[in-house]
Amino acid sequence: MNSIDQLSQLRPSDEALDALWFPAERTAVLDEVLGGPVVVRPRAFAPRHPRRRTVAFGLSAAAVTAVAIAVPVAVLGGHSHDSTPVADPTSMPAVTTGPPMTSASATTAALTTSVSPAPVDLMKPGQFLHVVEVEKEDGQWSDYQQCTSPALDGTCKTDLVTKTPPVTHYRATHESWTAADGTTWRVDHVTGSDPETNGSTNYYKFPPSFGAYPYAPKKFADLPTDPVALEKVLRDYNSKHYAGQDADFLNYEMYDAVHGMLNTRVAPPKLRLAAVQVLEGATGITRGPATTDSLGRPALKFVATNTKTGSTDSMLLDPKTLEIEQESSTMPVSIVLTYVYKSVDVVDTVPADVLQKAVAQN
Amino acid sequence: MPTCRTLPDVTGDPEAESRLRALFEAHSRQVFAYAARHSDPNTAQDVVGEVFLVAWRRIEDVPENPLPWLLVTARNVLHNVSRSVGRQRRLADAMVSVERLAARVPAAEETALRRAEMLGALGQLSSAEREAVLLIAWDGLATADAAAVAGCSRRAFEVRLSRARARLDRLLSTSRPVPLNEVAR
Repeated sequence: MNSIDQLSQLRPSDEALDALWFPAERTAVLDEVLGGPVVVRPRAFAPRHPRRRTVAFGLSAAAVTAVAIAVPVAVLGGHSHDSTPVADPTSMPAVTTGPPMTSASATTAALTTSVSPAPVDLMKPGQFLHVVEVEKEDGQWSDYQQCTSPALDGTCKTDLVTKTPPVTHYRATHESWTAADGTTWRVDHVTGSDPETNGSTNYYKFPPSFGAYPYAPKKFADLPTDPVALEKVLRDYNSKHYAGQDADFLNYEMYDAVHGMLNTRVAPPKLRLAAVQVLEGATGITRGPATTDSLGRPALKFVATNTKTGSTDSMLLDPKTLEIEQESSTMPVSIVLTYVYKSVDVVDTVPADVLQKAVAQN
Repeated sequence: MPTCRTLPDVTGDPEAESRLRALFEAHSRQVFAYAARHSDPNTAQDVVGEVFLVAWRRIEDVPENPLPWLLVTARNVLHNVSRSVGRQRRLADAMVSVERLAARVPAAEETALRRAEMLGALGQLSSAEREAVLLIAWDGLATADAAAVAGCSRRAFEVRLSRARARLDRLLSTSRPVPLNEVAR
């Protein structure tokens, strides 16, 4: 038997793959696929569904006025379908609500009760969301741990020999332009300790994508903007989707759900506010005191631990727009990944060289 | 100028849906295994969704032998989902993903030992060499298809694979079996 044949015998079995990717998850993914691709429509287009009429509890009369102005201009993800003229951001009041759910984890800081428009909320058809993001990776990946005394089942309970990997230092700037239909052009500039990528620049064109489940932009219009109702929707989804997982992991998934929504950068203001209020009321998610990100911008900080991977994840939000400014993940293998959203704005064009050099990824 | 993407015509086509369902049933685990080898399980699940979304949108373009096409799509999706190729390669380099996926056979001492030896040898290959042998041995691809998934020419892939096999053979032949009295102590 040659080495390839021997290696073939270690091919992942269906049972092993099912343990990593539950059959229920697989079914959910197929349902998502058959549900059709993401279609995020600019404001000028006719609605597929009437806009959900949800008013957060405790909404004041002034806030109702604010919502009436602010929400219809949410363009990309909000499926806001009327033709209200786009307002100047400086003239747009914030959406406010009454106090969110209470939680022991949130008592150290003032709870979030308002949200201001972000650039994407003012995007017009034909424009592009322009994001500059800096990715940093520092630390050491642990290399393969060689076992000197494997157990009968192939596991290794003692005598792990770990090779010491070199220190890694990686920097990448990702600059992207996303159209209203979700098509994204991106340029990556990479530097760092990896000789294979240091100094490289790559141009990509990505088709519209799902985003993460179940918080893809196409579903934003159907998500409640009441934090209690939103929490229930997400928890019900997680309980079904991650059936059999322990409570700690389900708590982390609540963080992941909100991160997934905010990370699309197209969640409308009221949904962002409700999502942050869900975090503030969630078990196992820590809301830190007011802080600043690595660029010195004021920030709200949320921290959660992924009990599956052992990583500690955090995100820093702009206290006004509730958009992600920075996120990081500290992994148990001594690696810290940080993503800083250096700038987010709306532009009218994609640079010609990017259009020309971008390689389609499908 | 079109400003929004329309659903593909096939979405209302029962025959196309049947084909997509069959494709998913036959290959989604393989795509997941490939993606999980280059990322974490949660990311891998998202990658599978994206890959089959592309397949659904382009169902007419999916070839008769679909796995290589699906894996090339997965490779491209990984570029986007994880933001950077560099991060993915680091994950792969760490051998963590491969070790997690490699089948565990509880039946025989010898098999357990060979597993440990094989993983040890794989860990000493370069990431490109390791990927080359895994595309053949785990994903079951023919050389030409594996070259497409690896993103290189067939000739370049054959050279890489040949070198990887030679190194793997050498590493396995020189690996010192663990004395049985040290097993499972």
